[in-house]
Amino acid sequence: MELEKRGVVAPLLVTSTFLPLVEAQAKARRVTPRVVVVPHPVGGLNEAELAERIEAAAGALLPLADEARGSA
Amino acid sequence: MSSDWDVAVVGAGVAGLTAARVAAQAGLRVVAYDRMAPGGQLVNLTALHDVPGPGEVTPSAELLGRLVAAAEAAGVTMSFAEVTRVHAGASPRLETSEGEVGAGAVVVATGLSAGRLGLPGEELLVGRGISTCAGCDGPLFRGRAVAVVGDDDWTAEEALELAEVAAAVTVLVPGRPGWSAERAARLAASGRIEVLTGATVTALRGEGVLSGVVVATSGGERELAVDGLFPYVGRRGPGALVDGVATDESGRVRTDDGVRTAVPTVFVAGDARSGAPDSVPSAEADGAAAGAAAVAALRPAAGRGLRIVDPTFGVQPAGSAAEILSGGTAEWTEVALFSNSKPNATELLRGVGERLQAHWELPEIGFASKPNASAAADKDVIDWLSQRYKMVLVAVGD
Amino acid sequence: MSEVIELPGVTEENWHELAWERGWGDGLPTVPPTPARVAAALAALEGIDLELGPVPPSGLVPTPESFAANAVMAGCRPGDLPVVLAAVRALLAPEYNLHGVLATTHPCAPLVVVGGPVRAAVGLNSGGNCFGQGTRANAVIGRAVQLVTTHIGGARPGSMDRSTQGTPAKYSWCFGENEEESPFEPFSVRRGFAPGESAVTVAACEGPHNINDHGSTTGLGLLMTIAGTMTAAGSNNVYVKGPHFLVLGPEHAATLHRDGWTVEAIRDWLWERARIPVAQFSEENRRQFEDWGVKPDGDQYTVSTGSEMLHVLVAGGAGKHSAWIPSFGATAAVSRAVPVGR
Repeated sequence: MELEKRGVVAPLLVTSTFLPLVEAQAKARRVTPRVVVVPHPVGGLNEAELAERIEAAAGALLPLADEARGSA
Repeated sequence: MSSDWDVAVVGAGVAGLTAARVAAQAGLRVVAYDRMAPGGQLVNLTALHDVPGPGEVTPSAELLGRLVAAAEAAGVTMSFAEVTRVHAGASPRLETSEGEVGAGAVVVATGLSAGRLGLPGEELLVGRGISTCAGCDGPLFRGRAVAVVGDDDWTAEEALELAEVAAAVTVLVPGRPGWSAERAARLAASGRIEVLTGATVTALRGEGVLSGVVVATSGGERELAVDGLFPYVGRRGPGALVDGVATDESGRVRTDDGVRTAVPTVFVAGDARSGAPDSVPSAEADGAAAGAAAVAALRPAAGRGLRIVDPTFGVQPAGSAAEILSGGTAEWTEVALFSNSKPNATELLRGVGERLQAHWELPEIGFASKPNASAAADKDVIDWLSQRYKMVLVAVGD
Repeated sequence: MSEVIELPGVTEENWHELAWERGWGDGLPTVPPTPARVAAALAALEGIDLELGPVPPSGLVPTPESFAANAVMAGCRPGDLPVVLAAVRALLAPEYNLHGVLATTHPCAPLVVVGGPVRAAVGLNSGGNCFGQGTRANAVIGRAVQLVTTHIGGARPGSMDRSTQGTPAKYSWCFGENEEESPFEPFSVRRGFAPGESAVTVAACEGPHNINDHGSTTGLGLLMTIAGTMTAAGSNNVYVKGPHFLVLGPEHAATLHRDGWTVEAIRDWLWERARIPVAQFSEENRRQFEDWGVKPDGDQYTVSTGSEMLHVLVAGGAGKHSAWIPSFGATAAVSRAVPVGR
């Protein structure tokens, strides 16, 4: 969030259970974060499960990144 | 000096967030300080056992999210300033990294410091083998031998978590174990955990990186080769932070009656309180009691106060985030990943980063990380990232 | 924080002590903005768009309730609120430069000049002692505008408000134009509003500087005295430039008008003649002006950048006094219509 305040596009990769916390922190810091949400958890996954998470995250990130680049 | 806040809560863990919420719901102006993110010990735990009830398990992030959201909804202001001193008294004052602040009442909910053995060379090995967060750093010791020092339920839970990744976990109990029978059974059931009672660590081995410890037992001293050491002893309360209140030998604040200290405007909740049981429900109960006590201290018996419309109230303008976008001088080819070093976070980032690299046909992608999830990001790293890169993909939560 | 809050242990009797302790108000007693008072104030704005932009430096957007709470605290009656709203809208125009105004060391306050029928409706003084104490509308409208920036914008003295000495005008700086005794077209009409329409004009200004001339019997004679008063080496209008105001007392205005001086002619004459010889400035100060890109016109410095920067209007009662009101410079005169509700 500090990065966004300094003008860097900084999408945050968070798991679903962390989302409320990130949103609350963002509110406290008065920023609107760009968030890529992946299903919880990430720790303790095997390779195949991790690949699924990567797929899900990339699916959300790429359009978000394109949009950020396009509007800049 | 007039008071800036009705209630200042120092520490935004379970106890602090609960106290802050209760006081704010009563209409008081409340600030909750935490120099890192809110969360306290929850940030370092993966799962909470016996929460909400015995035998049940709750992901700690879920509980934390709920506590933070409830505090925010009640109107608590979160501050990331570091509180460096609390001057107790009729009009308490706090020294913070952002200047001096006055409050009508203070709730001390700092919890305890990280565990330490008090041995020579220990500080140099912190982050180089010594850790106090199994959930954060456990995976660094995958397939290796580690030791855990302590005697309580917390120690047992961390040992059990480490046993999922480490090859061998030795639990060194200075006296007799104080953990529950249920945890004793789980420890005994694990094929990778050995418990040594009456065991004291007398020296640390390792040049730059931990390689082992010397353990004294009734049978004499012996070398134990470990790559990781997780001490849960020697944790200290906030005695050094707070003036004018009595503390016990471990620096935890003594109370006269529940959460009340000898100073009528200073309250203590959670692990920072002398004699507090080390559990989430008791921290929540402490927080609620301290919040209510702070309200009672500020609100005379006369009853309800005047209701007014807050003349300072305002809302954030819509779409303000879009304006921030314009900063940053780097080109769109300059993209980096920033990992919080939680298990699999780096792998996930790298995987997603590769996809973006292919999508935008980037020659390369930068990488940075912070040493562990519970530490605040280094300012120099943030400076470097913000100057060098146009976009940084950040792993923040798992 | 929530919008309606309960203040433990606070009553109407001890409200002022608490408000002061919280840093609310301007030092004088305020009226507690109870939900009932705020609702009554808002009722006067029914049918009016209450949307306001972010208030610097906090950047927070007032809600209708918190806006009205400040008016209530200042002592406004419900009928005063449309005027306060128009003034706050004007203040939030980018050209007013509220952020700069609040942070400057210069002693400027939000000057609120009101024209049109709303003056009579709220009892605004545009006659004798109109800059001074003694009229509720003048006192509370200017004060409400100041409280909005103090409370919602967070521009408290000592923290964000960095004024070296400040000015008593910061308590309240509001008056009406004496359209009834002015020989000229009303100021609000010259600002683009229809006759009969009420409007406010704001600018970040100092308090008034008196122009006493009991001796001159001609318009030209008065203008010489006015020019002499305007040529102050230490005014921001010399080097920051920007707007400034000439508020003619009705008797001075009548003399000028009798001698054929129009507003345009007054402005043009003063632009040409109200100039300050370079010799009145120290060499250091001239070098400083040079660094800032401010050059003399020949061997004289001008006051602001042109005749159009001087706003001429009429206010006050009997007597041979007028006033010059210098500004912060880095501000603009901004006008807004006073909204009319249902």
